[in-house]
Amino acid sequence: MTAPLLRISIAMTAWVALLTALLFALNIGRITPVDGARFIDRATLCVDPQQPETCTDVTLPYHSERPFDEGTLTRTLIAQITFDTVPDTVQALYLPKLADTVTVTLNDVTLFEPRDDVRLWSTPLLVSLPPALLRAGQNTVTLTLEGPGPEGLDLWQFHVGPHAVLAQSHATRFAIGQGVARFSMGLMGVLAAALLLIWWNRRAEMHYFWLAASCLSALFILTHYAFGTSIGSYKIWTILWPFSAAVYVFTILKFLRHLVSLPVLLLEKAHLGMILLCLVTALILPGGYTFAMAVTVNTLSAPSAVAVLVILWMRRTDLPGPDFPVFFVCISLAVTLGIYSLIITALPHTPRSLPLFQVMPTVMSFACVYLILSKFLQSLRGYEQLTDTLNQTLGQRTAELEQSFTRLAETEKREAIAQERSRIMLDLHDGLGGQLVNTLAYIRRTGSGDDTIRRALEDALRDLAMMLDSVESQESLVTLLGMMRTRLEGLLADNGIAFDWQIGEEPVAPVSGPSPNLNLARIVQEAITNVIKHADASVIRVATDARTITISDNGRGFDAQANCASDRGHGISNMTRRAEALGAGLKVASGSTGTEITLTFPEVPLP
Amino acid sequence: MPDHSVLIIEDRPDIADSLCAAVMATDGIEVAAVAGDLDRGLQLLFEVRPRVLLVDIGLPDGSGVDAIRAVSQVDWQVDALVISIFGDEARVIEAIRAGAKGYVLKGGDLAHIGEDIHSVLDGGSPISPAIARHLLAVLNDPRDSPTPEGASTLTNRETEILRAVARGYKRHEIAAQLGISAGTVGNHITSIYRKLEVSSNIEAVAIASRAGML
Repeated sequence: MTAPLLRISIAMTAWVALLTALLFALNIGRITPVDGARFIDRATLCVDPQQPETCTDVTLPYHSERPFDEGTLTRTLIAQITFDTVPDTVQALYLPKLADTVTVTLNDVTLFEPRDDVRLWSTPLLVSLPPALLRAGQNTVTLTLEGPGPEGLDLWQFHVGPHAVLAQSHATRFAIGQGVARFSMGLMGVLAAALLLIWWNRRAEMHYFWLAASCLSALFILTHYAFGTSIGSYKIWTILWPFSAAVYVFTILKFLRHLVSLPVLLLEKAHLGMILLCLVTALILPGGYTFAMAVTVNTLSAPSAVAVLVILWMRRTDLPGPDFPVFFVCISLAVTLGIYSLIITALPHTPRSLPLFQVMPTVMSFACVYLILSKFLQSLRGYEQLTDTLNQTLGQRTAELEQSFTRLAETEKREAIAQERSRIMLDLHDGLGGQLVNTLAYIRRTGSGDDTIRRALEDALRDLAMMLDSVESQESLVTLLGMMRTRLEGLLADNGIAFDWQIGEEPVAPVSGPSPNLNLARIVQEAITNVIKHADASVIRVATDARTITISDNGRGFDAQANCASDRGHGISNMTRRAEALGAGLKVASGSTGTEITLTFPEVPLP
Repeated sequence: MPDHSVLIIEDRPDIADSLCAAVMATDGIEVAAVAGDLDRGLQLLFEVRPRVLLVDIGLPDGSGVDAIRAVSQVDWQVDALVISIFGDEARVIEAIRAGAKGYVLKGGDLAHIGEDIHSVLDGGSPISPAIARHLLAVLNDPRDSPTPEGASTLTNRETEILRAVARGYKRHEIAAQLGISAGTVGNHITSIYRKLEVSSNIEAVAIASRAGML
């Protein structure tokens, strides 16, 4: 045994001892005088009531010797009760505690005779004394105690007085004793059924089974307390009910072991072995020793009962919520009540008159009910959480689905637009383009028409080509410029002008797409057309860097201010307007050595 | 050396006549036949066995691309050129994938057509900035490269040339920049076209085998 285990075991033993001492100190059910009734604490014990010399005065409570003999022990106690006058109300004899049964006679008239199968050790007895049988002066009450020898006979102080007064005290004591025992029996039955039902549905959780088993064994013990009846012979019954208490401790140990998920304990095996050994011994030994064996088996169960508390304490952090305090309090009280009852049963002078063992199952039932309720609440919480999570997930998925539907719709729309655009492009290309080309071919081949028409058709075809290029070269401005070179080169060559092509870095335009591209193409086209028309230049230089596109020539230049209203000035204002639409700045510089048009994009592209 | 024969498949008669005139006006090449539709064109292809095929894409009874495919299967040497209005990349790329060596523009001055044909016969294919840009995107993108050994990926020089073309530089300008001859630049472009054709064939095989046709 490890040091901490030893320490905790000692601490738990001390704890139980403390609680037991406290219970003894409380002295529940002590017998005290009742107001308005006589308190009889002395009697005469007679071996043979007919022979006064065999009689001796005794002080109550009286406890007989306990011979190891199965036979019936009989003792007669006589008390004299004096009435000045015969009372006119029904009087009663109230015996709070006796063992095992009693025959009551008043002035030689038998008032109470016990039934053979009922024992009165666990219940008070109230016997009516009819006024007709009472005499003025001395009245003799004879109490003949009977019971099994090994358990001894007891008679505690008793009361004689008005029936109405004593019935009250009797009822209270009956309620605490057999009343509680009967109530506990009902409770144990219901709980055993409920726990078995839970276990049946959750076979893996064995702690429910063992708690149900403890309820059933408690039911068995309680029969003895609740009704005082015996089943079978003295020996069989004296084995059956006390051994049930040892089994009860065993089942609680099993229950706790499963609750805290421990492997099989050595103690369990030892306990079971001890029960079986005691059982065999009790069966072998004569009936006179059965009671001693019953006391032994229960005494030897005490370590297991303390072990339950030790296990609980050591695994307290593993238990959820208030499980530990609930189980610890309940089991502490249960162990205390068990030990208390064992002590008052085992000691020959029965130090306390009221057994409290019947309260123990009630205490344990709190633990059972708590376990069932907490499981129920836990399931309810789990169910609520699950529903919550499900709803949340559902909401999320719905939102995601909506989003993806929206995206899908957008994609479909974009695709539809793209499809429609390529259809228009194809129409322009094959339809309009093909027609223009065919017409031009006709004019060229046949020499019909004049140059103006031919040039107009060529311009239209070039224009169409640039529009198509603007749409198709969306990603790159330098490629668009390259395509423009291809389109315009022939025209330039016709006019004796060559390109000085200096395309470097790709300029980053703040806006992109077919329309900005077309605007850019138009600016470049306008600039080049101006050079062809007005500049009298031989070279057009087109250059780019990351922010600018520059178109310059080596022509004669012009006065940018003076020509505002002219054709050329009109062209420049057009270019400026298109540059603004592009988010770019346009600068025109002209001098005697040529003209330079610079398109400047802002440093940081607009979002 | 006899003149190279040219077969023209073009449905618009005026254009066909112009092309015919341009070819006839050029030394070293002559028109073998002119067809107005695909059916007649394919028939003439095997009858006249031309050295050069000029074919329009949009024909009344089908696509000129079919004629280009037929050309790539024949047992004599023949170069196919697509007749394009604008030289726009989608049409031309489709034709090159099918095996065309390049394109001729019918929209501009048709007088250049003869030169263009000679250029192709000498091993140099025409290319526009938009086509170059498209080729850069397609051939440099590993996702479009169907074989792990990268049969269709570009060499550094080819990439360099395509970048310059995409910026609008002419063949002789690129040659000057790189210190090589214009003819070498043309050969590079022909080789790039060849890679596009190969990659499209591998792609076709891959698609066919995925579809369980092979």
